[in-house]
Amino acid sequence: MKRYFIALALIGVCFNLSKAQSDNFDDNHAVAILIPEVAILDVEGGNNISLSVKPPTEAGDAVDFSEATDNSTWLNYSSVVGTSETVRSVSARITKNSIPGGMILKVIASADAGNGDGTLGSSSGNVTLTSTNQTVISGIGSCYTGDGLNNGHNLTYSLELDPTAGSYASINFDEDVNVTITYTISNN
Amino acid sequence: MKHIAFAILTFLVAQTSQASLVIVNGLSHEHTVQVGSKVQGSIVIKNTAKTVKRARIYKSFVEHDCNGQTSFSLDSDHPRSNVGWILLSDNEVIIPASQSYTLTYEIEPTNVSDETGSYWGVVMIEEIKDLDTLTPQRGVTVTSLIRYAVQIITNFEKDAVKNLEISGVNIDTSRDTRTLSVSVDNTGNYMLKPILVLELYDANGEQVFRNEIPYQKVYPGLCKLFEVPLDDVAEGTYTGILVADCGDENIFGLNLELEVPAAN
Repeated sequence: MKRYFIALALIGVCFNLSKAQSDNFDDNHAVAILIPEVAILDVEGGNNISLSVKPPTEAGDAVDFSEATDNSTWLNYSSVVGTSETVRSVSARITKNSIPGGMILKVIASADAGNGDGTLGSSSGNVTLTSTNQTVISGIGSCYTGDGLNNGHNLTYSLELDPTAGSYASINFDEDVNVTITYTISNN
Repeated sequence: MKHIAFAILTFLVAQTSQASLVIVNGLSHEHTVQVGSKVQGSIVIKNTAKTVKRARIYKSFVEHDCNGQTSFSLDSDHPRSNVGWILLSDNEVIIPASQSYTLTYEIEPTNVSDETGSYWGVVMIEEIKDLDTLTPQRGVTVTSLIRYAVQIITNFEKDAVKNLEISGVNIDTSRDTRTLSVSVDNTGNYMLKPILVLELYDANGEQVFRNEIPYQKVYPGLCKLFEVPLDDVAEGTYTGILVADCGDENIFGLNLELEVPAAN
């Protein structure tokens, strides 16, 4: 019985070999390469950033805004653009509540940290946030920044005294507010 | 030990990714339309997180200006808005972890006084965050949200007027790098996607610089800012040509004389 198995196996091998040797036709098959036109935007780091103004320590001094800054968040993105849609940008605006009287809120995106690759966006510099969209990062092509803290663009928020004359009079001690900043990525 | 565990936990929480909705089929969708017929499209949203995510979906309108700014508005009455023609399949979705959701939309041009050229609008996809149950903090607290603006462009193919005008050329030295800022107006009725090409020549007629700035959409009646870095150009006076190339025979350009200042 065992011999038959061996004999049948050998016949099978020979048959396959002869078939392979006699097959002189070329063959081909299509390989589909799918590259998604993907867009991912993410803010990493502090979920609720708190910016506090320090009270003056000497009679006659103004309140102190010097520590009302935060740079604990990072803007990450991954982007693949096409031949007809080649550039994207990120804009920001205040979408919930507003900045207390007498103050302004600025954000600046740093240059990319350099841990990704591709056509990374460039920062628009200091932007005073309002309810109107303003470009924060422009010129994003096909690229990735790396994921998480210390990747992409570091966002620094700073709460400042409104430089408009007379704005100090609008400062009110009980104006605690949670401001929502919405970042929008779009094709240009 | 408890303190160390708490510190590690805090660190891990801080490291956790917040947004995890991804658009996987592009941020611009273009359709050819006719009055009396409907077209359909879809936007694929993927939740890459390990938890369920919710998204709010709504329509908006987008405008660009010559200063490079983009503004979105919910209640625009712009004559070339197609927002009223778009019907969305959902306005809020719940996407399980690692799953995708296909949002479909239907476009039916209605109340169209001008059946020529391009109309456009935006579908916004905005992640909904859970209510913040943290103890209220003093001062100003800042929360971030992420949203995707998917532009829906509809074109009537008949009587397309494709016309661009280079309306402003300035050298911007206010930043670290010298940049040529070029404003391009679409004076036709059809959305165009020009490549901007700058060529500079020295006094001997030798080409010393050439740069191509990638496509950007310029909607009819609106203006778009193109920025050409001049990092590689030495201080001096040059003649040049500036071309907005939309492909086919749609090429718009001008000759210019450019005085490039020294690098900052």
